[in-house]
Amino acid sequence: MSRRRLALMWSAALGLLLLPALALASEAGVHATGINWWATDPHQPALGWLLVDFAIFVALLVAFARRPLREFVRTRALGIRRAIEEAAAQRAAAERTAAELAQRLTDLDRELKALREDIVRSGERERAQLQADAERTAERMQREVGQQTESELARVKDELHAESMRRAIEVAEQTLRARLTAADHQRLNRQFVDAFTGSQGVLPS
Amino acid sequence: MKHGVVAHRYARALLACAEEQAALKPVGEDLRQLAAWFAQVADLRRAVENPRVTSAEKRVVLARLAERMSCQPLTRTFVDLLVDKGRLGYLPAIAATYRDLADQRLGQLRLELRSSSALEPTAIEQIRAALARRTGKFVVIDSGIEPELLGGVVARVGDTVYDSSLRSHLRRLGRSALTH
Repeated sequence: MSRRRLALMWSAALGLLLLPALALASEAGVHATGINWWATDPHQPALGWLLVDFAIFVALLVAFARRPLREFVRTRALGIRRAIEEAAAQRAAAERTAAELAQRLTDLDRELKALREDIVRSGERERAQLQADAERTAERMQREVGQQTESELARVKDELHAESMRRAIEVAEQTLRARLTAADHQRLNRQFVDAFTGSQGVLPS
Repeated sequence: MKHGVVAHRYARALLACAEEQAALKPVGEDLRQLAAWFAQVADLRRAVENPRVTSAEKRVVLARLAERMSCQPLTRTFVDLLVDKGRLGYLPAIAATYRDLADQRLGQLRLELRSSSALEPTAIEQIRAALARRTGKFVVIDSGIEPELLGGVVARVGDTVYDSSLRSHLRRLGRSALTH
């Protein structure tokens, strides 16, 4: 707002303040009956001055508020238009989203169905696989049990054999201890000496 | 190295000292007797191997034993050293290694004879003479009785063993029966 316009506005405001004072000052001389146009009368305000006051007020309003009002109305209209456009865009976007969602729901149903079928198929495959594995494992275990039984039998047989041989050796040792005489010992020693010292002996060279 | 690195190291050092003092054979005899004590007297072996028995206590026990056996001063010193170094447990292995090294140094061959009953002296002499004739070395016979052999003789020269004992025959028979 320019300085000139500001000064004009202040002047108008002062005028508006002073006008009623002028009207009151002139009331003393006016005592006519009917409409009081210009006289100052505390019981009957001067209509002429009121009209003038109002006209000035309107002129000031027009002078100073027209532009901002027009601008306000224009910008307000633009804002409203923009809001409408935005709302329309949002609505369009919402409609698109709704359409997409609806489509997705439709697809989801299809996907769910496919997924369910996949799960069923893979479950059947897995069951068949598990059954085959179980059968193979059972066969292998059966084979292993058979082999283990055989090896266990062989081991027990070997142990029995070894044990019986150990016992037999023990018995033989006891028998030899009991029955070998001094002469037998001397004979055995003699055999060793003969073998050791003989021509076909076992001497280390 | 039949008796281990540690035993060999100690035996070689002792052999060098014994040679310097011209006590190769007496020291060897001391070691043989001490090793025999270790083998035969379980209490002595346990006391020596017990970580709760202090070195001083072990030294006292072994000093008395050495005195009783009239051991060489070098042997006593060596036993003290083994106690100090915590190597007394190696004494039997050291004795065996020392014996082998001393035999090599003296150019003699040692024949270990084990029989279930005593061999007649003439038989031992025949064996010694036969081995000396064959090898051209002086033969030392180390004989002993082992009733577990049941009958017959086992002779060992170095790593060669001739086993005619009935015990070995029986065991070979048992192994053969098990494998067939």
